[in-house]
Amino acid sequence: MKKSAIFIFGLIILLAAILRFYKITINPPHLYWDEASIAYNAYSINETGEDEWGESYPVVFKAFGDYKLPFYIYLTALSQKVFGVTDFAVRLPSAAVGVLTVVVMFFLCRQLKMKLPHCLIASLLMAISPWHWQFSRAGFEANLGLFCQIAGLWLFLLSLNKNKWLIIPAFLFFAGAIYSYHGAAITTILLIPLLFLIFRQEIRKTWKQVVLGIILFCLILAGYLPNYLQAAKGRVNLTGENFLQMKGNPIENFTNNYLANFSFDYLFFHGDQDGRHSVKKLGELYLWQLPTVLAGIYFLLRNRTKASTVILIGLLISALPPTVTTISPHALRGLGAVYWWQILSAIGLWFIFRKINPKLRLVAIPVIFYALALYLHVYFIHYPKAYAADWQDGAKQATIFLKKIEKDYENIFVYKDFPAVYLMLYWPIDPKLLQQNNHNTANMGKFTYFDYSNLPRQNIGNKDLLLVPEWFKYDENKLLRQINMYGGDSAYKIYEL
Amino acid sequence: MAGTRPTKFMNFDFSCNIGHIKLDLPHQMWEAISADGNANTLVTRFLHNTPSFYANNLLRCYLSYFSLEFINQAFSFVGLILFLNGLWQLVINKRWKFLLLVLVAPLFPTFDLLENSYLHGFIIYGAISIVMVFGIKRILILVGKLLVGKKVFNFSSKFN
Repeated sequence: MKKSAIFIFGLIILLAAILRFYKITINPPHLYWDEASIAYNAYSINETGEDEWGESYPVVFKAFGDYKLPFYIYLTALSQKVFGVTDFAVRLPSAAVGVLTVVVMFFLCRQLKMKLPHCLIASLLMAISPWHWQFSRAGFEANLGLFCQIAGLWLFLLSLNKNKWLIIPAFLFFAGAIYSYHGAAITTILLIPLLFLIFRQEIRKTWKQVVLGIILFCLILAGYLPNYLQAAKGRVNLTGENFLQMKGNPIENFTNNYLANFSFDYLFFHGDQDGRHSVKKLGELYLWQLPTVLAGIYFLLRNRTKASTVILIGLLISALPPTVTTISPHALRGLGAVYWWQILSAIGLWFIFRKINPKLRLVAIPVIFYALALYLHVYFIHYPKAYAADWQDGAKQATIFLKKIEKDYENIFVYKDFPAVYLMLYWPIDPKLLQQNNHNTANMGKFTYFDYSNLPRQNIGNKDLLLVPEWFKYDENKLLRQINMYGGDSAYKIYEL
Repeated sequence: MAGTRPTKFMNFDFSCNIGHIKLDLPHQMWEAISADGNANTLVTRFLHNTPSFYANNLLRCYLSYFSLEFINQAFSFVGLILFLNGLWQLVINKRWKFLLLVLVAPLFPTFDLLENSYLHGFIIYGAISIVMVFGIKRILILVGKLLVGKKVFNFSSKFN
């Protein structure tokens, strides 16, 4: 690789790191409850060697009953060893693998026989991809799954072209993807046979290493499926919430769900309509990528190679995880599509550049900069104010305030809507307490949960506190603190009882 | 036709048009500018201006007619496959006049050029159907080749 290419690649990595780490603990403005749950389980593992439910080094974490996959939680446990139980520690693994994904993307493109400029553009597009950086800036396990899948794919192709033994780490990364996120598990399991089919001739030459890799892969996964099914006791998300449960014709529902992932509105204009998954006002891809993606598809269909087959079928497979559930499109479950779209866009951009007048190429630069500036502006100025509630903003501030004043009070009554995981994490509640009292979060130390059917009464001689949501009516003269979200809207109120 | 189909798919009732954009634009502008708060006025004007909002909304409405969901809902999944295949045939055979026809069709409902929405439907569905014909033709040739091992239908590779 030329020095200039190395320099450009270095700049791309730097840009990726800045976009993923800048103000990472402030925007998104708060840990959402899954991040808090990951952080608490990691803390529990570090403190006791057991998860919050008392299971020793589990393969599947029960958490809220959603049975989280373990890889991200164990990485967070490592991160907490260095940075303590902080918001940064839970977001660090995601941001770090986000930057690494940009790096691996370049090498994957090289193995897909793409030219050097294609590969640099593809990694640049990944670095500035709003879809990817949205999930890199928070503790989303899907981001780790994505990295493992791309790294596995790169090593798989590298093993066919250079060193046969690289198939072993390739399968380790594929297993890592399966242990990270359910969506990544589905796409990885479908991607492996696809690779075997397309590269069957090359694989014949390395069959010993491949067999060894498959055995290792199966051994690693042996603990996964039985544990998952046993822990869930039939409440497997894939079978519990899927398109078959939707009203209407299942085939039609499946088709509509699938096609929704390729909708122009979702990809280029409004994105995922969950406030945690996108800024909602702009698409998952930049609007200027529309012609480049179309040109990329055209180029690959005209120049059919094994690599083009992998790219196009990889894109089609990546839409399956959101398709089989009830909500589609879904940027998080469909995160596996992001790198295929960027590769297509990179190929298309280069193809268009080659066809057009060199002077016209200069037009692309302000267009790309404008789109990036607009996204940065929306993400850093609008987003934290508009969607703070989607990130459960206020729960941390409320818990920290309670912690400051708790010495003077006997009991703290908490309204049922307040997520217990924030009290557990920021107080913090000793994991042993939960493990011993059969995970009874309704009574943790001074905290007692209540609802309208058992409103707390003032005990004579006791000084108690009341933590309630903003809409809850109580004597305003006894208000101690109003907890506001990032944008200034009230989230919680703390009263003296 | 339009109006009798479910409207959960964007723009199935041709409601995404210049008239609706004009009505909605002040709200969109207000939302964006007020979210900026005390940000630099120049930045606000540069990023949230009327031309860019118009262009974005018009493009969104225009492209909705080529959305896979729209075509699937209007012509079924088989129709969608025929459309994609037809589009591919038009591109690789460089049938630019037909392609131009297809690309112009959504301008009528997007800019609300005709008073009757049924005419908009006629133009859109007509344009998509023309593309599908190209798809059907190619598939018939392929099926014929598979069945007999040679061209059974006396089609040339281009329409005469």
